[in-house]
Amino acid sequence: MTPEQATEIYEHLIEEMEKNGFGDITRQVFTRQQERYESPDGRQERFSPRRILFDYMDDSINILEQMSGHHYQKVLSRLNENLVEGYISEIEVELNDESIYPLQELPSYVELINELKSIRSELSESRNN
Amino acid sequence: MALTPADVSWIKTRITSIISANSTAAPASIRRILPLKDLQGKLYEAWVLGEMIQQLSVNEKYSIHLINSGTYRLKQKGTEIKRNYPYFKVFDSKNTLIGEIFTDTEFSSLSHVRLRGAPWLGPSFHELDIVLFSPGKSGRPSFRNVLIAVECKATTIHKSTFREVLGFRRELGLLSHLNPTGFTSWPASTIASDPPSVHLFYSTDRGILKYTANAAHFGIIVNHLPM
Repeated sequence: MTPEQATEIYEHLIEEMEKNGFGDITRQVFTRQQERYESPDGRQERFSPRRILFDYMDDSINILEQMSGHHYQKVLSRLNENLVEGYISEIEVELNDESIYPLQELPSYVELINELKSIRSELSESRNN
Repeated sequence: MALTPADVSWIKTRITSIISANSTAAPASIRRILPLKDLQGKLYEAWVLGEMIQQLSVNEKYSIHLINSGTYRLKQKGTEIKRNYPYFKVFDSKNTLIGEIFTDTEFSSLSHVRLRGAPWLGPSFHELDIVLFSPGKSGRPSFRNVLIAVECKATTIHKSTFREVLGFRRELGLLSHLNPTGFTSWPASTIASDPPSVHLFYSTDRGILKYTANAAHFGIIVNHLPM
């Protein structure tokens, strides 16, 4: 992958994320990178386009994994495993208008995460021209 | 292998296809009156609640009893103690009730208690995601009744988030020498706070760890806990 190709894919990825309601992920990635790479004098170091693309993909995947609803059963099991008395059958949120949102309905991002991981893996195997 | 222009085009097509296929499930989409990303934060709150129950059971040998079994209901916005909602009673090895765990519940702030006779307004109380109060409390208990205060953030940590946590700590107690908490080891046996409440801050972002030492100085324990 040439630096120009890395930049082209990176910009396309950001544009698609923004266009489809995932812009907050990009903003979180930028915050993480700012916090991580800020040198003591406040200047950010400069990286290759390839590294910028891979860092963006790695952070996006990590953030999506932490927001995905596929953890629901695991959360429910963990809540119950140490209770001496009582049992939690489901978890819901009472909203301000007193309506109820069952957390079981949270969307899973597993397919999105897996496809991004697959693309990331293929790109990292491509030769660095 | 180097990428050809056709390879790049194919990768871009795959990116467009998978992201657009998930657009209705994006964090920016609104579910009823709450943005989806806030609901995703509630799942993390439940995960941290499970962690707290496990740590108290395993490390402190406490027995945790769920009151009002069945559906566990979290709240979008904090309220006073509601005993008709599910909550937990925490017993020690001698079967003495040492505290009660509530979620999305408010406490009366240190500043409000010190401003004797001040009107009861928004700044008089703050919401905790998870709280262990000393037993038998009602309404919005005083900061003096907080044994463990827990905040959960399933999002990226900004420096301003840490400043917010510091402000929260100030409403729970004053900086002091190390005081015994009453716990053997978890979450801490001593804490730099008077009263000696333990303030726990959980995040899915590893970046929180760089604040560990500064937070500990003020009696805050930060934890990186992914789901």
